[in-house]
Amino acid sequence: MAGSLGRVTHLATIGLALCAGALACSPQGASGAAGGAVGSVGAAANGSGGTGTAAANGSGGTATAIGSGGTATAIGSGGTATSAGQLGSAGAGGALPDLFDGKVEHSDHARPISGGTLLVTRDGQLAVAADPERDQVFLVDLSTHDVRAVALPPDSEAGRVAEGANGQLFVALRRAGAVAVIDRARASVSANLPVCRAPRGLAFDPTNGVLYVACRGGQLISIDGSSLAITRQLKLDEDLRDVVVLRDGLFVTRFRSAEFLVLNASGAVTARVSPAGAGCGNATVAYHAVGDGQGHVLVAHQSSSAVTVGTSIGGYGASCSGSVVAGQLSLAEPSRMSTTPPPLQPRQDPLDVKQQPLGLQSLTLANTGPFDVAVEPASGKFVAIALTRGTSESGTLRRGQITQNPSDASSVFAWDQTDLALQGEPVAVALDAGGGYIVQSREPATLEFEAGQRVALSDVSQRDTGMKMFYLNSGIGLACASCHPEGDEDGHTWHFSTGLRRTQPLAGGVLSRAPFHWTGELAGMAELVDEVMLRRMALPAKPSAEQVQALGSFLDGIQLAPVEDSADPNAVARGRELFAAPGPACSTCHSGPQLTDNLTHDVGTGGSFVTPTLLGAGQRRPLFHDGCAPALSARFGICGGGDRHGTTSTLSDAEAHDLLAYLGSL
Amino acid sequence: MVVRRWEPRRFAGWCLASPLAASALVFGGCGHENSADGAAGGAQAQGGAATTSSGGLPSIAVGGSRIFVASGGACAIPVSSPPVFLDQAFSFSAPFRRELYTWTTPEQIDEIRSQGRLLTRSEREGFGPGFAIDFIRSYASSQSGAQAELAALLGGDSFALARYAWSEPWATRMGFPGETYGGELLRMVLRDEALLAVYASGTLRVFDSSQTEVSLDSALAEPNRIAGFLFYKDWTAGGVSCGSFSGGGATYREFVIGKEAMIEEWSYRTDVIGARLQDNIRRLQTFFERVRSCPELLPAAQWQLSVGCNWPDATDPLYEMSAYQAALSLLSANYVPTPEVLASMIDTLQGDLFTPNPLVVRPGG
Repeated sequence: MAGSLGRVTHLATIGLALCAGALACSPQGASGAAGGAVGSVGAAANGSGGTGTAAANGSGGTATAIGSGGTATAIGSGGTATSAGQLGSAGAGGALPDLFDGKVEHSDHARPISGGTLLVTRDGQLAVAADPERDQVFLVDLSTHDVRAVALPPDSEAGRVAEGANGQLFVALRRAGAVAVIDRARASVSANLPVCRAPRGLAFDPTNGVLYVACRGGQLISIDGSSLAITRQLKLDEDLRDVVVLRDGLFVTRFRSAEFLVLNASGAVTARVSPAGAGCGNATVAYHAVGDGQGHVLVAHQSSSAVTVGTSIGGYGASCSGSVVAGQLSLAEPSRMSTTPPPLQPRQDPLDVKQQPLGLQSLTLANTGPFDVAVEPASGKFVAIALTRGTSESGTLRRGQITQNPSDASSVFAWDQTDLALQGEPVAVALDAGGGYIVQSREPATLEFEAGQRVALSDVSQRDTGMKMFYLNSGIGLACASCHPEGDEDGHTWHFSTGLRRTQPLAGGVLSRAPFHWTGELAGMAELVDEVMLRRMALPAKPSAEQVQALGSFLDGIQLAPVEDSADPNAVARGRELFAAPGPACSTCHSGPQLTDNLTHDVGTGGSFVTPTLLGAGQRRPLFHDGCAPALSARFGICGGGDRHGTTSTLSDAEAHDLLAYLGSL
Repeated sequence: MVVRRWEPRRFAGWCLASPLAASALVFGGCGHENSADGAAGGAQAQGGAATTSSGGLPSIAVGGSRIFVASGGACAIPVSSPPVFLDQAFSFSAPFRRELYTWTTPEQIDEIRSQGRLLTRSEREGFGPGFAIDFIRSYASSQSGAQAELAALLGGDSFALARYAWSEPWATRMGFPGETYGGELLRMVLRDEALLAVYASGTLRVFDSSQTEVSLDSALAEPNRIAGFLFYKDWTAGGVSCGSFSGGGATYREFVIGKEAMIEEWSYRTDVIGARLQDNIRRLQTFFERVRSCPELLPAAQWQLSVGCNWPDATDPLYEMSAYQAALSLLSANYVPTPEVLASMIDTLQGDLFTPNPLVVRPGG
């Protein structure tokens, strides 16, 4: 395979044609599907008159609906309004087929995918698969394929897995605020270590026996693997995702911002960079980072469009690098990263949007995540899976390799040219001792091996139509989950023709927050599905009312992420009183269990918008419909709209502090 | 915790954002869908030279690709008074500015105070003397006659100590990503007899304080009157280039003042400086209010290209957004007029406000 790898230019767009199923497939690959999708609903592939074109490029097997690299890209908007009813019946192909043949299935435990839940132990004998929906960890003997299940506390949401010393396995319990210690030999939990409210990333350093835990709240915790005592706790930025052990420090990612931090041995941040996005996008949503032990870190993340997003038919499929969200795989070389700009001439920063910061390279995927990546240290070979899928519920795997450029010893990486179709609903990938891939599927719960075997992990079905719709590749390379990773929001502010619009959160009971979208133009789920899935995402199938209900049910069941309770409880209590007090009068509009009155108001923030829920506001960055405020405290600045938005100018600094403490606790 | 408060003002009426600026093409795709659609068409039809059109869609080139920009509803910015930055709009036909502002660090303030001189350094640590100086030296070697002589003078020893400045504090405070200049503000007033060289469009010219162009030979006959030069990093100097092969580096324009004898007065932490900062903040707040419902919709790099390819001039008919662009010094990502960026700028300048502790120096006595 190495012979097929060449030097890679930055952000080379390599289409990963995910021919996912009947709805998304065509002989020409996904691009053909996109064109077919648009064509089937008629009148979209027309670049004139301001209508956004979703012109498909069926050549070369690329999966991008809109080409880049010299191909004209139309970023459309303002197309003729077409009702959902028209979408469902009009077009060259006549009526759209029923989605999933009209089937509806339901699971009480279907949960948004966090991915990255599979590990192969260092001795190559065991695969460890965490299952957040079944509250179990499966230990699979890679010789015999015997499966042992380890029960976890209910609704603890098992996440990342790390291997310690002497048969220890660690599993992050994302909703239980703990790390489970599993005795490999006994297949049982030997301890639960309280660490932080929302542990995310895990990494074990065999050289010093320390387990590192990255928390959503920003804590980076060191735990001695022998005594299981916390030995150090750093407070970094919020929304930490993964931690990777380097030779002389740590590499930490942030989830929504896809920012990478490099820490030295003493815990000081020595570099902080974000990869440039694909095409005209910004890097977002760092799903998973893995190290190869050779000084490289591979990060599977997304890139979200920073140019105008069309709202016409297929508008979400028309951006510089294909759809408005693309997948990216970035190769980081932390030793080459720096907090300071490279020693270029001052003000010579090039305007080329594809320029990557020092120490970073990226490859682009046409389809979005959630996706995962695994790398084999010795060879630099890696595999990535893209989890978007059509009705066949398959995903795709692609290989690649990190190599050294002999001329300057720099590292390069590239894809291999073969895509492999996967079965089930893939959520994680790992490599076995021989370099063969192992893919974990959530439903059915299996491990799929490169040699072709499939091992069942559980016979408990978590099949859920609503979840399937949420992760369904609409045919243009993205799913609902692309902008709502882990069932919530990506922190991205989109450039719509109607202005800047920050992705709205889904977690915490979204159905009771209708009407939807910032201006409340969508009364309920049916309108939302019609406008977004059928129109903007050009889904070439018609969901039934029951399926729309199933999607709503799935979304409504997504829980808010646990919030750190580090604020002074007295300040929180005082802030709660202020919230309802006549002066600020926040609770006039931010009322009820969702802290919204579901009505539109003009509070001086640039228009009339539906009162947003404040649940989770402390963890949401940025804030307001246009992403104006980088933090809650900026609510009192110019972004907040002044006293039209609650009388806050008369609050003392202490009162403002209390109010912020309360808002941050929600 | 200090919480900065803000109270919005009222405004009424509507006007187009920027019919002449290239970015009006994008503003044309912004705003509420039910507002003034007809006006948007005009904006697009008059789109600037940075764009080309295909099938009715305006476009700009980015990174080797041609990006067609959406059309759609109008973007109309509500105003009841002239554009906020109309009187700060810059023109190369009248480039001389007697009053200039320069940002620096507390360390350099200590240095300036102790030495009693404004021009104390030949370069900024880690960055060398600056691209403008490097470029003007290179330009000298590529030219002949008066152009070469003037460039050599500006790049020579007599201008080795220099400060970069602009006529309004806000326009340079935010710098470029990864490159800022400090939060201490100095004011300079040039002498009435000072001359200013101007590098733009591949040539050097000289102006006096009455905005009258002076021949290079006349200026070179009185080199001590030359206070410095205005450097415009346009495409001839490696800035934004437009057309089929668009790209290039960051674009900006800035005064480089290197002759302390031509500075009538310089000062620090005076009431005048404080008032100017306050005025800048108020203007930005008003601008923020006006553009929030109609913000910039291009990503930073594209905005830099689109504005840099057709930087509005004070001699153009200016509207709210184009007046802002015409007043800019740095086409930096830190100046893209989105609510987030503008709010950050306002917050930064508010943090720069100070208690007066005047230092006023008149170099000529």
